[in-house]
Amino acid sequence: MKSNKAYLFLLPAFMFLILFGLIPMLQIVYYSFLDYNLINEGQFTFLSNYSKLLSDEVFWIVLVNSFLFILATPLIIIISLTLALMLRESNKTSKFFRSVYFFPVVTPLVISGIIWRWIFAEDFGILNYFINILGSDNVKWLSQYPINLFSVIILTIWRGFGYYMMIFLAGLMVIPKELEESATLDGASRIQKVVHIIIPQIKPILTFVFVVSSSAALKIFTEIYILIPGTPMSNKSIVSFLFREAFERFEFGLSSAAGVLLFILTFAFSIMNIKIMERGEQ
Amino acid sequence: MKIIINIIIVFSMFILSISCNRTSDPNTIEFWTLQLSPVFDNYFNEIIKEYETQNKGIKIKWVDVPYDAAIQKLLSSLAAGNPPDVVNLSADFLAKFSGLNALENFYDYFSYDSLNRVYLPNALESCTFKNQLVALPWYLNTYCIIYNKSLLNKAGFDDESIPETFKELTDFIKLYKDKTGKYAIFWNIGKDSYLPMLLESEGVKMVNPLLTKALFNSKESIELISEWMDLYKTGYLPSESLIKSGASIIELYQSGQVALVLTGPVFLKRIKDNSPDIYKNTDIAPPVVGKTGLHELAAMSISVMKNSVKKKLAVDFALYVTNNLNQLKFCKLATIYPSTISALSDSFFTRSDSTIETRARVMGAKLLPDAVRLRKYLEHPKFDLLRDIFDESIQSIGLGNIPVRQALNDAVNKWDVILQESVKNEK
Repeated sequence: MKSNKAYLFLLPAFMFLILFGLIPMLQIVYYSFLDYNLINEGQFTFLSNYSKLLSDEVFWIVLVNSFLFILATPLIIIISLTLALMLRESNKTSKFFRSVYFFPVVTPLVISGIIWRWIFAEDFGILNYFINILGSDNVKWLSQYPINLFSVIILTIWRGFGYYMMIFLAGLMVIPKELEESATLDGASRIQKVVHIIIPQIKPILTFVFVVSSSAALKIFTEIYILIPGTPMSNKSIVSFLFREAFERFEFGLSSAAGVLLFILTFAFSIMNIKIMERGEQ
Repeated sequence: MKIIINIIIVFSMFILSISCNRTSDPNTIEFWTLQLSPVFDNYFNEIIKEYETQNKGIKIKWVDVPYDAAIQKLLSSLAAGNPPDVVNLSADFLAKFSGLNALENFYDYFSYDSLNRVYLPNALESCTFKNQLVALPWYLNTYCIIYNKSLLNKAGFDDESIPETFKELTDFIKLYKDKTGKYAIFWNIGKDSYLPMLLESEGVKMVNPLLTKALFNSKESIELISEWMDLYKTGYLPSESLIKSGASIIELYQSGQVALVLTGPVFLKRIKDNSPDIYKNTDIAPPVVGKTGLHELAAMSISVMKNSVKKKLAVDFALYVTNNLNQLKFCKLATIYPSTISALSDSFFTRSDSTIETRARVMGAKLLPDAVRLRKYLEHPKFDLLRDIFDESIQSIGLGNIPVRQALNDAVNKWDVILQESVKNEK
């Protein structure tokens, strides 16, 4: 009887998961075998969408670009962990800075995008203004590939580090103080304590942040959509490609095939990450 | 176990009730507009009320959708089998949904002659795709030059210096930058590029009349595009001219960064609201044109969806929204032009009180009959793919240093593949 009650509580979430997660996912797999535009009845074309994708040069470029965004992951981890270590003491100053650093997370992305577009603006932007003062020519932050990818990575890091900092802070709270105190008594330096005590203690959190942030990097879309909308598709990510095919060109079959490939890649990448981290723990 | 089954039943009924929520009342017409609320709420509520009074028992459900989300919303409503009956579409959206065979042909209800007596011929032409009238023309817009007199005077230019042709515009851009060190204009040449309009206005065809062969790698085309790409590469155009779309065209003018802008007179109000100081020094001039003297017509239209189950009612309502009286009322609320011959000949469009708005209105109304849909390729169902290929070829010249001839040849080859594929599919 007890177990039945437990299922009862799980049921609503389970139903939602099936209705809004599993069924659409299976539908996407089905659509990927069709020539389909949402209006006309789809025509079964078997693997033609996949072969079209794999022979499309732009698809391979956007795939590589998506992997380039993973470069943001170690940077975001280093920045957010460093800030979490600096702000782990619970006093007024650290509470203030925690709020400040969390601010970009709660700022609507459209507003962040507009602000950063003005910062990166090539002729009238503040960044190029200072670069000009230093005697250099304007940098094409938004139009020149791959510099524009770097600009998107900066925006992504700026938006994300506060969120991951909070996760690290929560992890740091549960490390027993005795461990660090005894290390201090043994004469360990601050860096030694971080490397030999803190990082091993928060390894599950590090794994979580690494998996979440790297799969988010693979799926990057909104930052690109807002910051560099007018650049060629070859400057963008796989999700931008998928969005264009579906919602601008109505090629839902092709877009679904790209979605299936992205899912396989993200899934494989996450499993690989977890395995590597687990091996590290052993 | 019984409780679980009950919950599943209740939950399924809840989901079913959500999915069946849309009304299919045979006397209710759903009418979608593009981003006109809340500014024009009074106007729409008034004309809807009047229609409902004239047609007892008919109800109009007006839904205003944001422009950027319109295409997705319309598409998902079509996929769900619940499309609106009457929908306002822009030129791009019209081409897209016409290509999907989703729009009703008005020639099934009215003869060409009867409509030609009411609507401007060029406006009707802009709603015609493959000999089918897939929409009734609604409000129109045309282009003009909006310029900052103060900036021009400081640089030693007067009203007579305002360019009238594209050739004069390129000379002006160089001269202004050389004199002031600032940009004369922001013109998007790489994203939703204006260059196809320039080519067509100069008499250089982008594509043949049957839409089977791309033609923009001709000698004249290469020369014209090279001239503009040289302007970009030598720093006479803002760096972001290659990646920003037309939506950004007004931003730099409003902030006083550029001296002139080629856009619709409808933007005068935005300049007035956002930058009153710039507005004080603003004046207008006719749009620059090429050798043909033709310029682009921007047309909004009203379509009836093919999937509508109330087509006759919907067609009647579309006719009502676009009639003389309603268009004239609407035009009095914004700097737009009617698509009906009678409304355009109203004294409202011929009398100027010397304010910039009325001068813009009178000038635009005079120019309107010469405005046409310059880009013939918009009629192709994959026009957006063609547009992207052209845009990316321009971007590759500016950013990738690909020679103009090579970039245009590559783009023409890609266009030809798509155009030929469509010919095959039609057969």
